[in-house]
This record gives sequence, C-alpha cells and structure tokens, in this order.
Amino acid sequence: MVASAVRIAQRMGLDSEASYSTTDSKALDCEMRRRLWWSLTMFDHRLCEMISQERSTSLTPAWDCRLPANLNDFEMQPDMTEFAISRESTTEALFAVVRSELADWTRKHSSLLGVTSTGSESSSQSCLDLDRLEIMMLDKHLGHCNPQVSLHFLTVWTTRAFFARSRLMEHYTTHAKSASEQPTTTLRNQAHGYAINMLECDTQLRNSPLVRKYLWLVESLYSPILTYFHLLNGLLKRPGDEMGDHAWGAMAEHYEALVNGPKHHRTRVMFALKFSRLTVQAWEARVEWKRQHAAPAEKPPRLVLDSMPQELIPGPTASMEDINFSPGQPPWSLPFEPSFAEMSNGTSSTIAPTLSPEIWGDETSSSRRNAKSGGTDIGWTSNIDAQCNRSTQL
Amino acid sequence: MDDSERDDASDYSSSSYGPPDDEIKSIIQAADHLLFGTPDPALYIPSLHPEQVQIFGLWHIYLANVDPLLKVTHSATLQPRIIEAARDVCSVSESLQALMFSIYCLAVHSMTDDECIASCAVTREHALVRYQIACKQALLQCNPWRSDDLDSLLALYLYLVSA
Repeated sequence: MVASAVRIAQRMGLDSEASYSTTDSKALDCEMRRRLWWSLTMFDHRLCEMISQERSTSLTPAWDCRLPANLNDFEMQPDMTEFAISRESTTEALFAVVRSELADWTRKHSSLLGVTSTGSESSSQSCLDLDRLEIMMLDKHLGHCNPQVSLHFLTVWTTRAFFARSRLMEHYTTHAKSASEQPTTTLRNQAHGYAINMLECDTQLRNSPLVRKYLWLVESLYSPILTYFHLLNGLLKRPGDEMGDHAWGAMAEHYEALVNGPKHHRTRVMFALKFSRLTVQAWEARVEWKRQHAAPAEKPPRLVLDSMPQELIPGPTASMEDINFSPGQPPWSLPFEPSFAEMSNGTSSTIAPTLSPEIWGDETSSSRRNAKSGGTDIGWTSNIDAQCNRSTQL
Repeated sequence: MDDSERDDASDYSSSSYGPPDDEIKSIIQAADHLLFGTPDPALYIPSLHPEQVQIFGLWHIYLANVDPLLKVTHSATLQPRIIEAARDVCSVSESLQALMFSIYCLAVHSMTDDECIASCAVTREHALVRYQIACKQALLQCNPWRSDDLDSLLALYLYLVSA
C-alpha cells in the first residue's frame, strides 16, 4: 500500500526537481511537496527494513528532490515566490530536516542497505563518512539544540541512535562476508558497544517526560528487539564477557522503561523476548559462569523474570536452588551473525568505544546513564543463594 | 438548540459516533477487496466526523504530537480550512474530508489509551477503528490513485502512518 503511495508521488513528480522548476506553483506548494516526498520515502524505507526488503526501498540515489528547507511555518507565506534562508539553525522543522539529511546520506551509501557488495576499502570509507556526517550534524544542528526543548531532545537522541545503529549495520555488512571466520574480541566488543548505545538512546527517549507525546514515532524508527537479540546471543556464547555487566544493565534499564511506558508499545518486544527463550538461556549461562568463578550471585532483573515460564519464577521464599532450568532450545542466533578469522596481530580485547565521546562529550558514559535515568539503579546484588540445580550444558 | 436543529445535528453528532459497532464490524468483514475495497454507498461519510469541538481538539493534538515530527502540513494555511470545514462538514471537498479523517487517525494514534479516553471519551482502539474506516471510505471517494491532488496523497500517507 505504501508502495502505491510512492508511485502516486512519483507520477506527480514529487521526486524530481525538474517538475518543480517547470510548474508555476508557488514556493510554499513546492516546499510542501518536497517535504511530503521525503517523509513518504523515509516511511517506505523503514517498512522495507522491517520486512527485510531493503532492495525494494524508494530511498535510492535515483531521484534528485531537494532536501526540506529548515524553515519555520511563519517564514513560508503562501504568496512568496522564494524563501529566505532562516536565521535560526533549530527551527520547527528541525527533526524532519535532520532525519531527511540522515536519510539523504543513507541513500547515497547503499552499502549500508546491503544492496551492493562492498570491499573492505569502501566499508572503511563508509565508517569515515559516518564520522564526518556525525561531526557535520553536530556543527550544523545538534550543537545548537537545547535539551530542555522536547523537539530538540528528541532530535539529539534519535540522531545518536541512528549513528549507533548505522555503525552496527556497517559492522554486520563488513564482517558477515565469511561464515567460517570468527570476529576478533575488539570488533565484537565494538558491535556490543553500538548495540548498548542504541538501547541507552532509546531508554533516554522512553524515560523522558519531554518526548512522551512523540513516542508514537520513536516506536516506528527501529525495533529494539534485534538489539536485545544481538546482545543476548553474545552473552549466551560468552557469559563472562567483560561487557556483560554493562550489557545486562542496559537491557534491564531499557526493559524497565518499556514496562513503564504505554502498553501498546511494549507488548511485541516482551512477547518476542519471552518466546525466544534467549533471555533465560543467556541468564542461565551467566549464573553458571558466576558459580564456576565463585562470583557473587545476582537477583535476576525483571527482564529475565518476565521471560521465564510462570512455573520457573521463584516464590518469595525460594532460592536459586528451586529454579530448575530445563534444557533450552538451541540458542536463537541472528542470521547475519558475523564470524571471520581472528586477525593475525592478536590485538587484546578492549572495552568497546561509546559513541565518539570526543564528539559528543562525556554524556555517553555509564555514569551519565545512571544519573539521567533518574537514578533507577537496578539492584544487582542478591540475597538469593547462587546454588543452582540444573543439568543444562550450553 | 431546538428539536429540529438537534435532529439535524444528530446526523453528524458525536453523541452517536456514527454507525453502531455491529455495522462497523460488518463493514470490516466486507472490505476484503484489493487495496481498500469498494466504496460503501450506505455509509454517509460526513456523519462520521466528530463534533466541532472535538475536531478542533484532534487538530490541536495533531499539531502538538504529529506535525512537529512530520512537517508535511503547513499549519498556517491548513488551520483556516479546518475551521471552515468544521462549520459545515457536509460541504467539505472530498480530498479535504479524507485529509481531515487522516489527521484524526494520526492524532488518535499518537495518544495513549488514557489520553484518548480523556479527550474523546472512547478507547484508543475504538477511536482508531472508527476514524480509519471513515478515512478509507473517504480515500476511496477522492481516489488519490487517479488524481494529482496533493491533499489526497497527503491523506493517504497520513492514513498509512496511522495504520
């Protein structure tokens, strides 16, 4: 159905600057057509992503419609033949303009769409381009934002999430070429870092009262479920991962934000987490690893408890001994889980970088995370005995 | 308002909220054709508009929750058209009618259940179904698939975002 709307728009010439120059339409009419085209094509692209049909997207370099103008409505009068450049960098159209500029970058870097195969050189070029784009967006728009203004807050955090997601997708595109190779620890940690950043950005948006009225769109920008699965899959295979605490913390906080939000926003994610059993399996692996390494036991976060079958949830006086984890299904793994040979230089593992802290400042540190989430520190210490009677071998 | 005016008003009064639920359900079941199905001649679309006060309420919710994010409508030029249309919904053009219903759909879509109950006195799901049915019928009438009218295409897009 959306495809038919795109075809109508193309028939009307909304995607072509040539159609705007040949008609005698006023500047306002042309601008509103451009804005509709961009909004429509971004919506179409998002739907193509959701059904894994990125090759069908209308967000391609094939058309030349100009970007929407960064203007307030009052600066666009019906009788104007052309518009003056706005003196403000953060107008009413900020969010739409920023999203359009990011979409413009995406359509010109089709390697991120998985449409074209890329060599290592072009993928490293894409990484550089992402860094350049990030700096450009900060200079042009985001550095002028006031985080107390709801539209600005939304724009900043959705843009951060865009960069984390794009880097994660770039990671998959670059490293999914060879199924026989294993990723290095550094690259794996990088990918985990991007996934954790995505969740942290989404948690910021869901917890902020400023953008509650905008959550209906935030919901549609991307689904967090794949981010969960990426992290849980990694934690299942490597329960002692040095990023494990950070990953579990990010997932637990995000899940709490989901639970506290509108019901129709959380149902699909909660269902997917419970259905896959991956959450429980990954937590099992963590419990077993802690037991083997004599590490202190932890109380399962609500994310894990909600994903358990009802009969396994311990009662108020039960101990971990009473939880009898049955042999689980084979771990669910993402179809594009990267695996490639270890690099010969044998680089030691490092903590995955947060989102370019030298660009964004220190706001992506975990201390910021705890402070800005209202201090809702999920308790990781537990009074429950760590002994677990189970026979599952993972 | 005397009795005759009240009878006229009840044609599109929000107190009845259009056809009863059973009729809505039968419409849903019948709409299994390609795209949106065929227009239902028994359905008088103007009767499905909410009351004037609620039209403005939904418009303001659209302005607060939706327009800042999409920016596909120019509020300064559209608002007077909405005000004029709300005065007499029976004489609204087909494309503007479809656009109005798509705006209602998105306004409801952007609200939580509690907000919708407070604003429209019905649940979010109920309001969404009602306005989406009306929007689909209005779109079938203005037929964006065969016209060059921007309002029609805009209405189709906003409807799809809310669906």
